[in-house]
Amino acid sequence: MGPLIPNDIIPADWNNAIALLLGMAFGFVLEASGFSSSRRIMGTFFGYDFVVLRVFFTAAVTSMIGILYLDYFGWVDFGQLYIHPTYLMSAIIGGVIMGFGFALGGYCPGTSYCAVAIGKLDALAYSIGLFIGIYLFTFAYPLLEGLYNGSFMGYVTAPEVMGINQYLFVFFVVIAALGMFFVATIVQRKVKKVEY
Amino acid sequence: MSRKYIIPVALLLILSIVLVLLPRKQDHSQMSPEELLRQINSTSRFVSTDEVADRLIRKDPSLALIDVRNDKLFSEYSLPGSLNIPVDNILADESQEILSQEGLEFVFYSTDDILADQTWIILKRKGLKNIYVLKGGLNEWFRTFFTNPPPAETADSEEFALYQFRMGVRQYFTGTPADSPEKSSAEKIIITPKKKKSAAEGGC
Repeated sequence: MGPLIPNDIIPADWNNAIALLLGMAFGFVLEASGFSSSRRIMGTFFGYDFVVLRVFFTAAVTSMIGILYLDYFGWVDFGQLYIHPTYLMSAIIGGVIMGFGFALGGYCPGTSYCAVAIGKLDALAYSIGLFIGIYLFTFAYPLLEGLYNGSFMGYVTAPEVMGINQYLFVFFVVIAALGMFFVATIVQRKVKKVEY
Repeated sequence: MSRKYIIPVALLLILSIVLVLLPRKQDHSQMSPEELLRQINSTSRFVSTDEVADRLIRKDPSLALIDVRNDKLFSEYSLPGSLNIPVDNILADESQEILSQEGLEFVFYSTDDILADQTWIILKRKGLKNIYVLKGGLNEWFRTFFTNPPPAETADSEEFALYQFRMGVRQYFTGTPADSPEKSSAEKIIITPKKKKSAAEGGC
């Protein structure tokens, strides 16, 4: 776990222990926010509950703003952060498939384990399906390899690709997020309330 | 919008607007003048011609020789395996891409070591690591391997070993046997002049 382990502040043996603690904390927050209910995620799709949208976008803009301030004050080196590589086509197609699964099953992988932990049977079925999907994917890999590794754009960030200032980009994302929250509130008011 | 959201929304907006309005962050990757002076005074950036030759012969994969003279001089003569990045282009993006590669030690050379040293200072200020200067440049290269006289007979064995090494380097890079100049001159002295002399003497 950076920056503590690479800088020898704590020994590397702590990696798994920290991962376990962080995982438990993440699971707790997901469960506490009600994400272990498939109806909540479905609510985003049907328009009666936008908590998922609000939580994830608030998390995204908070961490974006936080990291940029930490970088500005020199407490975190932005250049040292891990940037996930971009495989454009597989990200788009994978995103569509995952969104489809989201709307169909009412869980994402993380929330499904959360729901399994509190004993939900639909989440159990969902998790088993997830493993079957992973198993089948390994057999289909030779067919999908070109798509999986294709259109590689490197370790890039969105402001780099668009060629705009990253602070300005964050500002636009904040505006977009707040706009979405506003629209979500209006939609929620017009759709019939669902009790669950 | 319900009232409880007003504060978080205002906070997000203000923080993101302040980010856009903040003065641009200074680039700290450049070296401070004091640190630069200390590094310039240190001689650790210099690499000797003997070391470069030794690493070239051993085909050291971490050695990257960079010729900073212009391309005309580079095409006339260059050290084996070296890459030409004229000092005018040293800050261009493609040059920086080459020079920022990890795991390589870049040794700059020019005719003497002044131009290479200037390149070194510029790049050191840019914050590049693993950059060195060939001490004496190509002039020193020729002095070491092509025009250096053999050690005096009274010299110690280390000097002879160094001389042997340098002759070996010369043979490696030019293909000429190390002791050929002496042999040919010796042959000339023994065979041609003496015969001519004897023939002339006989004629008188």
